[in-house]
Amino acid sequence: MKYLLILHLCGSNNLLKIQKQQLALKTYFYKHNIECDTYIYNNENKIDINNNILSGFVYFQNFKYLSPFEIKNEILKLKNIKAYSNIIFADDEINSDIAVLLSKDLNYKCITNIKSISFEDNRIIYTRFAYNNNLLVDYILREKAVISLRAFNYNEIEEVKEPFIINKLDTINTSNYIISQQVIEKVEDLVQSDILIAVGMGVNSKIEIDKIRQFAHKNNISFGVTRAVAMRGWGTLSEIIGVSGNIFSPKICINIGVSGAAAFYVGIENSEYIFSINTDKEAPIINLSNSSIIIDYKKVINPILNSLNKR
Amino acid sequence: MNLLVCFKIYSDLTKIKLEDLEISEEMGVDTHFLPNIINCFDESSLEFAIRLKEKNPSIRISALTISKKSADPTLKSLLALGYDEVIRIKAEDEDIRFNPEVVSYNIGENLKSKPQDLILIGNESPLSNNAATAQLVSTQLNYPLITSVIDIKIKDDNSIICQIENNNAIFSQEIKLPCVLSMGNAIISKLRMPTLRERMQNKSREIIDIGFINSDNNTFIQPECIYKPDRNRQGFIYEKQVNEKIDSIIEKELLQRIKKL
Repeated sequence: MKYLLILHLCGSNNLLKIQKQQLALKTYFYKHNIECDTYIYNNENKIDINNNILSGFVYFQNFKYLSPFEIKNEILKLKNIKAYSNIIFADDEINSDIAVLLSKDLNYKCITNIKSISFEDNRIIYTRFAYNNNLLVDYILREKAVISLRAFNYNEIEEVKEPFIINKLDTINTSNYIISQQVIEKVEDLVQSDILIAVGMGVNSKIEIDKIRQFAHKNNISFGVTRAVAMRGWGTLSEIIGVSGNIFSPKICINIGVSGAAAFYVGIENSEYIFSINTDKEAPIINLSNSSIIIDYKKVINPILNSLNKR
Repeated sequence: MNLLVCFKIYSDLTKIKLEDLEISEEMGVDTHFLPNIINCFDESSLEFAIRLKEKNPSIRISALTISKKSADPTLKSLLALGYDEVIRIKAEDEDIRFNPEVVSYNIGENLKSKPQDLILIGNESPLSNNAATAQLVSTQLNYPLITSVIDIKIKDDNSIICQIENNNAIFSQEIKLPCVLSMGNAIISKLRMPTLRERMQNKSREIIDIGFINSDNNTFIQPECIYKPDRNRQGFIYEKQVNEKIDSIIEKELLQRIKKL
């Protein structure tokens, strides 16, 4: 049995991210005696990759445009695409879209947004969120399938000793429907540190959020906001934590004024320890935290930042 | 130019505690007592269409949903806001939660007689969180798909300029029409309310009701079970006399852990 892993490289910024995704997925599937090849597509600043970061057989292809149809069509052209029993798309917005398009063309089953895959007896159970991330749903599938992942735990990594073999495919410079494309804003990849500060609407001042953000950046601490904060314009889209944003796996997560909606919690669920500051004891985040302090954040923010300064 | 927004109305799950959600043996989840809301990504799309029409009055804007009769007040609001046509595919008892193919099939069938130049569909929506409807509509119609769209401008009758967000970058793309846009975290996120005058002026306009069509589903399978995740960490809560204990709480709960990193 062989799987094909699909990873999206967006310029050189997220090389480490796709390395972690590849290694974690290979580690996991090898435990279940499944070999994996990898297809990596890149759509920004034509780049090269080398064996310092990846392992195993890797297809690599540059695209001029961020275009799901063209990427899907190139995946379909892979000589042995039908030999893979499962095609697994790692966490990424466009990956999930391509997964659906590809499944239709291959006439394979499709399950989107899978958070975990478990092997029991002779069957594979795919689990994902539903009901706005409040409930879990299990699927059992024996046929060939295209699967997209979301909020998958990429933290369990072991060394995979496999020779690196790369098959560089032709760069695709055209699109049938994109006339032109330019990058108009590029944010450096978010800091992935052992500590995450998450800010919610309870911090009801843009100035205060800016202060916390600056502190986090200066001290190399991960920082993010809830979707509501970003929609108010107090945070950027790239700072959103949760299903429509970033998924973090820090050792310590500090939530300041976060209510704890399920869509947000998915983004911090893999934290080892969660500490929350909130004025509302009934807020969902309280039960989802390892410890909480019921107080106005203004009274504790300075001691907290001081403690982080002592790292 | 014809622009269609496909949107979903569902029960507001933020108004209930997880522990109060009840799941039946048939995987049903009772949410009928909760208020209806428009899916947040679809709400963006509905407002975008109105703004595009304001700038380009020749655009004909339509809205389509698959919903129950209980969605009528929302649909009437859209007529009052200037939508040229509001279509409801009637689905009272059909379980379409985990069947995005039947949803896209119904949308596609409706568009056979009413071809559209631009179709806006939210990235994903509860209850199923499939994130597949826009993608399936694009394959059914053989229209290109543009994903994670956060802004739209009409360039001319044949093309649009979209901003799309991906991997912490924002791209601007000029796209040939027709196409399907999957709408993401757009900054324009709230749908305006119609005024009383707008409601009165559009009072007699009717929602177009059409029948639901069942179709074979061969790509997306039905789940085996639905259940509540075990998320509770049930940690310690400091709530009494915390003002006097702040330093010791921070020392115990944070500083000691930070030192171990």
